[in-house]
Amino acid sequence: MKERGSASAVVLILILFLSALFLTASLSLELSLRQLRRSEERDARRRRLVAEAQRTLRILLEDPTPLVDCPQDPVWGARPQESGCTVELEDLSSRLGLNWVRKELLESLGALKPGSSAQELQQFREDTGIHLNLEPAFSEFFSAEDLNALFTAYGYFNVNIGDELALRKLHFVRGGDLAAAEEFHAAIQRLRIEKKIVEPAEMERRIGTGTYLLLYPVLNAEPAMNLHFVPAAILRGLFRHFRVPVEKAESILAARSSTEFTASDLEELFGKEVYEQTPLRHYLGVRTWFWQVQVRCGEDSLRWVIARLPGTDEPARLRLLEERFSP
Amino acid sequence: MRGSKRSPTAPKRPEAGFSFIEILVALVLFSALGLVLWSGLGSGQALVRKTSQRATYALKILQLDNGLRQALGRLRVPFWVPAEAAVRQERGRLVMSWLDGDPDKTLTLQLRGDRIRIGEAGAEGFFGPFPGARLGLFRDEEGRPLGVEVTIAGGGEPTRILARFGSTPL
Repeated sequence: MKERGSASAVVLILILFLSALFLTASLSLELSLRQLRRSEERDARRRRLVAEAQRTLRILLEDPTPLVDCPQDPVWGARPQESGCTVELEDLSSRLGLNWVRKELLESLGALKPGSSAQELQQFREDTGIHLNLEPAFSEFFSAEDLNALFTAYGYFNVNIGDELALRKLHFVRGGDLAAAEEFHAAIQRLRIEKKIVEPAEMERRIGTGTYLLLYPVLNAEPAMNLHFVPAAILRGLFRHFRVPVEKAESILAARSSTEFTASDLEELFGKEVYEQTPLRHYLGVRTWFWQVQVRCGEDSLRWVIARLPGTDEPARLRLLEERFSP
Repeated sequence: MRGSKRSPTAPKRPEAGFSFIEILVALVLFSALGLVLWSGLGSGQALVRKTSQRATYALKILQLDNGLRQALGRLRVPFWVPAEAAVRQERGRLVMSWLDGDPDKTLTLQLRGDRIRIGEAGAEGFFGPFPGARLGLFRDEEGRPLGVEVTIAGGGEPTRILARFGSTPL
């Protein structure tokens, strides 16, 4: 009896030992497989959103009039391919660039909070640099509503309309050389004193090849905002600032949802004198430089920020700048 | 006398028990069986242990991959900042600024012994152990950094994890 009992105990221990081993192995396997499945599932969900975003960009690129972006473009009528998904397209750049806007224009817009001045804002930019998140950086100067509605951080710097201190800051951020940035600042001041407006084709010659290579395409001479999408308050403010009859702004606002204005229409819209002698045509053009594509499928969302490279390439050259996938 | 007496010529009944040869054969057989069982048990145990180790290793790689993607996806370097200015590569360490679009928030990726540390101010995570792991940047054809590459020299082919930053330079 005794001997038989010992044998059973040994066998039991052996079985327990083996079971523990197998249990550990299968648990590890199960955990790995579960993680792998989760990872694959996440990838598949991301791919689904990416496919929708890519499709939107394809339609954007197939625009029959690629040098004009307007609400009549086919992309605005496109529907998502997958049911249960939504795609939102937003023009991110057709607002004033708060990192470069000049103080005179800010004053005439009248959007500053009571008690703060454009001069203080210019000094703030000089002290703190260029900001990507406008809120909270500029919260002491503007209400949250105005910050979101009128201003953007996603916009190229224009050599003709950018605040000269902001352009100096940009040069320093990209080059890290204070003396060279100061030299560039002096060159910009000279252009402003001489009232010279730099056209895209002559930019390299005007600012020098070294500076051009350092700053382009972040700094260019393309119109910063799209007339078709710019907020009404900015359009009215700009027309007021450059002494264009406000009725013209109103007629543009009334017509733009159904009319595609081209670059050659701008002279007539602004008036010949204003078009030729003021930099208004560098504020307002007909192309959008930064787009946001937001795709939502169920609880997943994908945000893309796309930049259109300056130039007149057809189709436009787009570059993905930011991606945020939130599963 | 009735019946019970054996005749002297009748064959002898075998005695109870086993002969020496039988015992020997049985011993040899049982030893061989024991040996087979023992070695089978040993290799089975080794197989189970190896499977378990591989599964754990795969799990750790997946966790690192996930952790890296989540952390690097939060880096938003503005388009006006040259990508090189946002990433500092030191020995066994990558320091990246513009976490969540804030120039003052940094994300650090570091090799600490055989572990990989992904950290930001106030929060950090350790992954591994990955002996012989290497950290580096992966770049586009123009040499601009697009993300981080982690190479883990496992037993066989090294494992490469590529995780992109949340932003791409202009």
